[in-house]
Amino acid sequence: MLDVEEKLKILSAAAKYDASCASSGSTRRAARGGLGAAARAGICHSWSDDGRCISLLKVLFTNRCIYDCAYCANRRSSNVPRAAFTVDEVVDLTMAFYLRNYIEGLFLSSGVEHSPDHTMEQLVAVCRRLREERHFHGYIHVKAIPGASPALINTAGLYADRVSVNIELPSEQSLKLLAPQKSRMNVLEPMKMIASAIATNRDERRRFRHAPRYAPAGQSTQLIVSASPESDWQILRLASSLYEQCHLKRVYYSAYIPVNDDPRLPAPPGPDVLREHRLYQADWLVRVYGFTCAEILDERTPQLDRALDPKCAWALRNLHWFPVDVNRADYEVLLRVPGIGIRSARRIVATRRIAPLRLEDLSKLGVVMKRAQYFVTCHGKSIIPRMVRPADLRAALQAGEPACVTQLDLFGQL
Amino acid sequence: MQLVYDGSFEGLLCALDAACADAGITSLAAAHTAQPQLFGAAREVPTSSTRAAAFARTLRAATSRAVMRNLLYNYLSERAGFEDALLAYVRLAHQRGAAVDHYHAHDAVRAVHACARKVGHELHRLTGLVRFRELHGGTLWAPIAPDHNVACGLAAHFQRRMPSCVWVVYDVRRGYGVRWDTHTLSLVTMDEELQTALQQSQQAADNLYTDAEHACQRMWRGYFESITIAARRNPSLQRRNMPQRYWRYLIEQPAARAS
Repeated sequence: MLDVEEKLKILSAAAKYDASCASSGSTRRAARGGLGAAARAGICHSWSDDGRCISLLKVLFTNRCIYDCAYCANRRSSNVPRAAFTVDEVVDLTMAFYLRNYIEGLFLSSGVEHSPDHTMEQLVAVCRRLREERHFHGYIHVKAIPGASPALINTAGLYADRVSVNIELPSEQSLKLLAPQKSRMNVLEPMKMIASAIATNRDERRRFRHAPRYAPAGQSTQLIVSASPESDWQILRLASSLYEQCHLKRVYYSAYIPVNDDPRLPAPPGPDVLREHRLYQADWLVRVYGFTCAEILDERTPQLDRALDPKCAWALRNLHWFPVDVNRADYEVLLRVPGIGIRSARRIVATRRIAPLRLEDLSKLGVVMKRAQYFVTCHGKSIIPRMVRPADLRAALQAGEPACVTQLDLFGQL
Repeated sequence: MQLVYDGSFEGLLCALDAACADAGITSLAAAHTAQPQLFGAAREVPTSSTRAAAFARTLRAATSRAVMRNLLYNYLSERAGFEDALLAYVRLAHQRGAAVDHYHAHDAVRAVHACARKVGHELHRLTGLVRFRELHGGTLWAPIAPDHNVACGLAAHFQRRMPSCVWVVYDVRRGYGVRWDTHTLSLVTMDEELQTALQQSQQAADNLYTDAEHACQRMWRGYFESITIAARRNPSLQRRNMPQRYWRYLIEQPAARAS
């Protein structure tokens, strides 16, 4: 019999490939006698040696699994040490870590032991005990196990701040090839159900202020990139349709890391973090900056530019949008200028109400002039002489990228 | 002319009040940092709670909560010479009201915003990086050594979060702490002897902790190691998010510490 410390080591190592560690989007307050609160902005509590933030205690309930998905470290045929927590062990660990301010809450996922329903019952039991018996008001992110009964997933949503189902791979064919026991339907069904439950709940809360909250921090999903042959265009199209149809808060992308020897999988020397990074940048453009997927990628250019961020790449293809006059352009237009982000666009809009902006003010407002200088004017003046040729512009923008990116690109061309 | 105040927040408010009424005042300084003036004179401002409160009330009515927060955070920053930009900011706030925060291209406003953002950022960062240790007797104890004077802000955060525990957030650098006894907050100081003992030996600190605390710390260190994806090791990213100056009072051991 393993003790809790060993179990924690095994089951946190087994959970580390889940990318989400967000603790934002929910507000909870500690009731008298209770413990914990949730901050709307989320709080990171530490950063592990891979530079990823640790805000939640991220563990599997068990890493025993009846499935044999090729990409997964915990697949049935994999030779890893196995363990399973009891409900009390997870609850006690969460409370002890939370009390010492190590974590912002719990991220609970699990391998599928016996059946999806059986596993989901355990996850719900943990959430219920934390909330009802221990009066825990911290953040809980729980995975919905595909194939579990809707009633169970619903109950989980009432206890948790965020519920998520991992879509795992970008296409049905890849899923069939690499995870033959799972199906797209199995994943999309619970996702749609959670989406409609959240929408209904939002409506209820509007009418009855004290209606119980259902997954107030929304749902997210994750998919593995570079394990299967899909293009960035397919991935981004999938993500933007999920944002539109299921109102997901986030889609997480995780660069494939070879954990198993399997002939169906590629064997890259390391995770393709640059591709992952570019996908995240494109994802932000779609989710926050008001771009559509079709503006960023299309059938003819299915891959993101590795040497240039997607906003710069878009600007280069759409030079007719520019230059933008910072004293006149709408907020939405400002957001499309490379080098201007949400914060600087807001500042521009606020400041120019008081007095017209001058070119030299822009960097004071946080605009990254290294990129923005090619795309903005002020009273008809611009920093650089007009009509830079697109090829020269590209080279200039690329020169501003961190060295590692251009180096990687060189290797790619070899 | 320069105004000198006693270094307290109330004193600062009184000095700002006096300076706003007199255009001849060009700078403010706390008594412990004030340099003798080469040209021009310096004058001391007496601190009065009523005057400070009245000034704060008037300013709040004319501006916004954000302006008041900027004022407080600039004071908490303890940055040398923060007063001069703050004076220009407050003078502008008197003319323009809450819109002062829209003058992003104005140098004084920018300096005040940058300073307030630094303090707010550290406060937010520490809400995550503070680590409580359970002492015999059940008190949770968290030593910190922040750049800015944020212990009280942290206390307010934990008061909302852990209302039914007894805890102390202790600023080792400034030599004071804030204690919550499940009903009220109070300022505490630590006995110097104990503090030196704690600084000097790990053993002394370890003896204060319960067995459950030791077990918990071990598990957290184990967790911290096993959650890392070795193939993605990235110490520079780790340091960027969690600067090394905060590592001392963590429980976990970032790997770069060894190298």
